[in-house]
Amino acid sequence: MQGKFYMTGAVIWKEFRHIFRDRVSCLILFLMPVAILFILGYALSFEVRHLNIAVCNPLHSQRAESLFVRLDANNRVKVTGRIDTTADIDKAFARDNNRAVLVWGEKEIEIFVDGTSALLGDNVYNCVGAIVADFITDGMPPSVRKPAITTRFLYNPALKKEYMPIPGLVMMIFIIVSAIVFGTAVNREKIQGSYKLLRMTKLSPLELIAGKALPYFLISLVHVFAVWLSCLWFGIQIVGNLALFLSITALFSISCMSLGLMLAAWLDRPVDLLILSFILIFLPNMLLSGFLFPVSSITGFFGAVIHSFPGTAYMSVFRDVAYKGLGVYDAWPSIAVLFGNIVAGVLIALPGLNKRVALR
Amino acid sequence: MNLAEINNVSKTFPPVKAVRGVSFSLGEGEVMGLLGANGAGKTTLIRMICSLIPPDSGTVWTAGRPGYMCQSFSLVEELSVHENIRYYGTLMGLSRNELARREEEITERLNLVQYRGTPVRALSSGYRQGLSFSVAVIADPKVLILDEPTSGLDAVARRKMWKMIHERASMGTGIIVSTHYLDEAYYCSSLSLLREGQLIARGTPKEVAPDEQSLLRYFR
Amino acid sequence: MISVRDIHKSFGKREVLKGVTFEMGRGETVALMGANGAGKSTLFDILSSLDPRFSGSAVVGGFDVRTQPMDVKGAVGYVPGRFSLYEDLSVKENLVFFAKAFGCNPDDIHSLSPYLWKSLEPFSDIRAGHLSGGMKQKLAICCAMVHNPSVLLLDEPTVGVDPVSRSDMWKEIAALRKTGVSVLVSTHYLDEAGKADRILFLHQGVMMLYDSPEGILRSYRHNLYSLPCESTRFPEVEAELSARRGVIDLYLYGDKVHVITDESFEPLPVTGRELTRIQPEMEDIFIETLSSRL
Repeated sequence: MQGKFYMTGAVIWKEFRHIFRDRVSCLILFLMPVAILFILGYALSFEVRHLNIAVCNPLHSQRAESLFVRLDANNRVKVTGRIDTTADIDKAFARDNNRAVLVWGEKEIEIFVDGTSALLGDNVYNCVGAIVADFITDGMPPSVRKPAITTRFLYNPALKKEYMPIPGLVMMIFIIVSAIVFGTAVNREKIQGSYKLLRMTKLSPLELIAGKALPYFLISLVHVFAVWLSCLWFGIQIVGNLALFLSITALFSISCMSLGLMLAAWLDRPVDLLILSFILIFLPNMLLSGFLFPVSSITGFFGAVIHSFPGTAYMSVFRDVAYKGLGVYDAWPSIAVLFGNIVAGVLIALPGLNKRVALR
Repeated sequence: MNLAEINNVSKTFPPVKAVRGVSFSLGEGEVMGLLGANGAGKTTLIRMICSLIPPDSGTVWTAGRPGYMCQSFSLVEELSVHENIRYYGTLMGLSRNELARREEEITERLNLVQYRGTPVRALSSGYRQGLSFSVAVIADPKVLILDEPTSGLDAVARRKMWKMIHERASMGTGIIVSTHYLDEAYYCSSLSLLREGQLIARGTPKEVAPDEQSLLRYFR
Repeated sequence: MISVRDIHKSFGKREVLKGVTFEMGRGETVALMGANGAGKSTLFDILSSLDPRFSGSAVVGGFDVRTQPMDVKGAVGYVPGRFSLYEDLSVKENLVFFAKAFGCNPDDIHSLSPYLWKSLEPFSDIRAGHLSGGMKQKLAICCAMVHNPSVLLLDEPTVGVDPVSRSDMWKEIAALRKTGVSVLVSTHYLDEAGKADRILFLHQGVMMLYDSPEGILRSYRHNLYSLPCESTRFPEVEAELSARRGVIDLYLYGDKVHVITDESFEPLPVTGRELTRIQPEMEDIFIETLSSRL
């Protein structure tokens, strides 16, 4: 009779075979995360590289014309046309996919930015603003009075600055790989006769699940590494402790797995599992974690609920550790939420794993 | 008059030649038993006759769309008796009046009148068996295909199933039945035996094998 | 090896086992007969200690399934219904996996069930999903026996399996019996039941019969006659016989009609054919048992 570790090891070995023998599993586990990160992440920042703007020079200023030339010379910006009066700004936005309108006024330079997409708005502002500021410092003789630059965000004056595509995409990958794919694997095992056979071994359900989970966890570590690479790629500076950030990302992966396990343990039909994973895990974490909408302002009961999602916790860790450079003492509430999710998920799952299942 | 003509059909799922050059015809009121070992090509042949998959070569002709019933009773468990009849009847293109008439007829014949509103899963297996057979023939198909209809049934329920099959055949329907029960081969009016995708015997049960022991040799 | 006393089991309001009691000795093979939904799989889950929520008591391999589940698991090999292995793993990989999961040395597989392994060995590198139905079941039994259990629970190993593979399966079971393993095997093929030492007949959760095949054959309470009849002429024969005195029931039996009668029946020819008094077979007994409930 061999030890439990030997027996659990067999489960790990078997699970790896399942994954690597199934082409679709391989695609979902390895290609999809890369695709999501790079294609989507790239697409979101891509448009900024090809920025169309319209210009307006009601005073027919020569200096304005030389600014326009300099703008057009920048390889990220293209001047698509000009309007005669500021009354035509709305029309300018309606054509040529223009993102901004630059107006050389009497006292000031006004940059009107399309604020419908907060991220793009921000980028346009940074890009055009920088060129104009450069022009004012070195393109104009020192004797001339410097015009002021004002920026107006049209259509979305508040310009929500919560928008962070990379943390959101990372979250999406872990929810798909760690929660949904792992949950499906547990479910597939459970509705086969093989699960009954496995339960005839001396391994407890917890040990069986641990054996099944480890390969998915190891694969998610590969993704943690990919997250770090993508941060480099997109120029996101990890200000805080890198090891801390990556460990918390791994912790987030485990908490997603425990949520997937919780559903897989209680649901028998694969379709039910997929749909409910989508509704109960994917949607709330995507919509309410601050990825798409600002939620930090929500307080009270709903605020508490939202802050108990692993997605929300991870978003705040990303902000605190990667962007602001805070340490483990400052990030502890988020870490506690992630741990809480793991414990709750496993505790709820266990009785479900012992439940009788009607075989296919 | 023949109700189905299967002419030299073949089907390959590379590398497996599932069905190889099978020909036969099915007459009016004929009950043809389709027998063979696992993997002999029964399921593939049945699926081609139901035109669920096209043959690679050869032709399949049936008089109208065949009715079909498999071992797992294709009733919708959550729906009531009434709803199942409506559902399948509508799928088969029955008109509203026809449907009402058929429902009356089926529920009366099966003594299901008081259970019209009962979900199918709450019915006893005997009722479900009768209902799923009736639903399979709701559009009065000229050809009926039954894929292991008696698998998992007890001795009495199996005979009830065969009684329904014979009643249907006496109305002129041509029926193809696959089964793993050897004794049931003798309830058929003709037999077709498949081995490795080929038709290795065709005839009345007595011609093919005088008893169950000699029938077994076709499975080796 | 198995001792079961008055087991009742319900799922919600539905009672699926209504008082099952039986004893089974070492090296015995017992056939558990019953149609789908008779409660066979439920009974197996209880005996294998996977489902402790029932009333009554069950001792398997000398251990109580509720209080000593770990010992029961060591003593029992369980092949659950349908195919219970990994289709994407090869025959050998399946065996090695289950050997390890049961904490055994995979190298011992060959000696644990030499008879089964002999027929599987040529396929050891083939994916389990590509095996025929009969071979899959052999592999499932092999995998359930890697820890050398003294009791084997086989849930419908012959369902969807052709007649020749079915008889092969029973040869395997006979070989296991010689090694002293007690086998409880469920099936709904009546012809298989006669090959077991004893037959347990379950109908809608009720234990109808538990006896040796000979004992069951002797329990027939009526007279049985047979006459040759093609199935197409059955309605005609049925009409004529139903009108006779002493006929209790009649049914098709292969290329014959069997008639259950009482003492008052006079065996005069039917549609010109002679009736012969015959000894009932297993199937006749079950039909009689079921009809008497109607």
